[in-house]
Amino acid sequence: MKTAELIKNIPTASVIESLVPVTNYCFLLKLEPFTSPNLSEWATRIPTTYLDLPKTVESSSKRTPPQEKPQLLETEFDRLATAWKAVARGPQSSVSRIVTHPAYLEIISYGEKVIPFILRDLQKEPNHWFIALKILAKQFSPVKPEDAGNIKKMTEAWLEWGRKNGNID
Amino acid sequence: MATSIKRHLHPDLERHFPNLTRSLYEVKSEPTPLSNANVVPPYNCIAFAAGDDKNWWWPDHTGVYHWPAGITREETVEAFIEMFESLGYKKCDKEIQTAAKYEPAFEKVALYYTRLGNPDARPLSPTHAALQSKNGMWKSKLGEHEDIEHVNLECLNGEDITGRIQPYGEPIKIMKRRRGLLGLLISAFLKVACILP
Repeated sequence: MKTAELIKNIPTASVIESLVPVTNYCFLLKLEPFTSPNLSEWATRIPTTYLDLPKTVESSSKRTPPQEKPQLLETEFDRLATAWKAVARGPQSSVSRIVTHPAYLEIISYGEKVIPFILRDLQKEPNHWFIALKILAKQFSPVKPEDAGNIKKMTEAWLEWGRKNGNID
Repeated sequence: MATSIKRHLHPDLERHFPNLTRSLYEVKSEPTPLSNANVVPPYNCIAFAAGDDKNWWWPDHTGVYHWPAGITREETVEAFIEMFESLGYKKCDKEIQTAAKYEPAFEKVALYYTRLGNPDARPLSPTHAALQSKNGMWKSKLGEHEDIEHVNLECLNGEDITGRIQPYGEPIKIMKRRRGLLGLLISAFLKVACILP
């Protein structure tokens, strides 16, 4: 993988800003080129965790879209979720870091079809799925404003929403 | 005589902080993993510095995480300063090392940012906040992991040079607010306890 391609695939926090009006989820994978003035410096600073990432993006672009086969989609979701969780458990507080991971964005790119998988994962254990869910639910959130940031209550609200909408049992 | 054993971070977590040698810190709490949210509420460093151990604070544009109403919701040092100002803190204009010195009458927070940017954050964005304890040490909650007490601010410094480490950058601003009477008394007690044998 060439350095230029690696840099191209590094998500920036501006991706988050572009998430708000999203209507076509697939564009999320067309990440903006990194706009650091010191690109050559950045090229030497790409972390190991992100060196793994172009493989994800590359493999996804080569694979057969699993839209027609739910089992394939579930397998793909599991693969991406596992990749995301491995990196998301660092010491960071920044949500941007957590939700701009390419595997997370790729999950969002599948659209509403992945909502049941996300909710089932959330049933197993709470995690930072809330931004993905809000985007996939077209900016709807069942979480009360006063519960924003309370992981337990946010999880409960989304699971309740999922049950009402038949996404999960 | 009882001896206390210092608790340290798991090596997988410790390796994120190249300057954090074991003589400089001690683990002070249990972790609050998201996976255990039904039992213990997860909270992050910003919440911890703001005195909240129930919520995850972050000014995300989607409005999903907690951020005080009326405070600018953006990942800039200015927005974080505005947030701490809303809690009664005021900016210290002295340079970091001087401003970070312990003053019993004041509570202090240190805001970290990354100058060059790293995989956690774009250049110049905030990464972390630490709170000064009543004994003059600093306390930091490490994401969903433990909170630690560390002797100085610099031990969490580090830019992302090797590509393997995703640290907090460096302190950019110290803010302080006057302690209440109870806080002052505790500080005074701790000071005396440190002096007496």
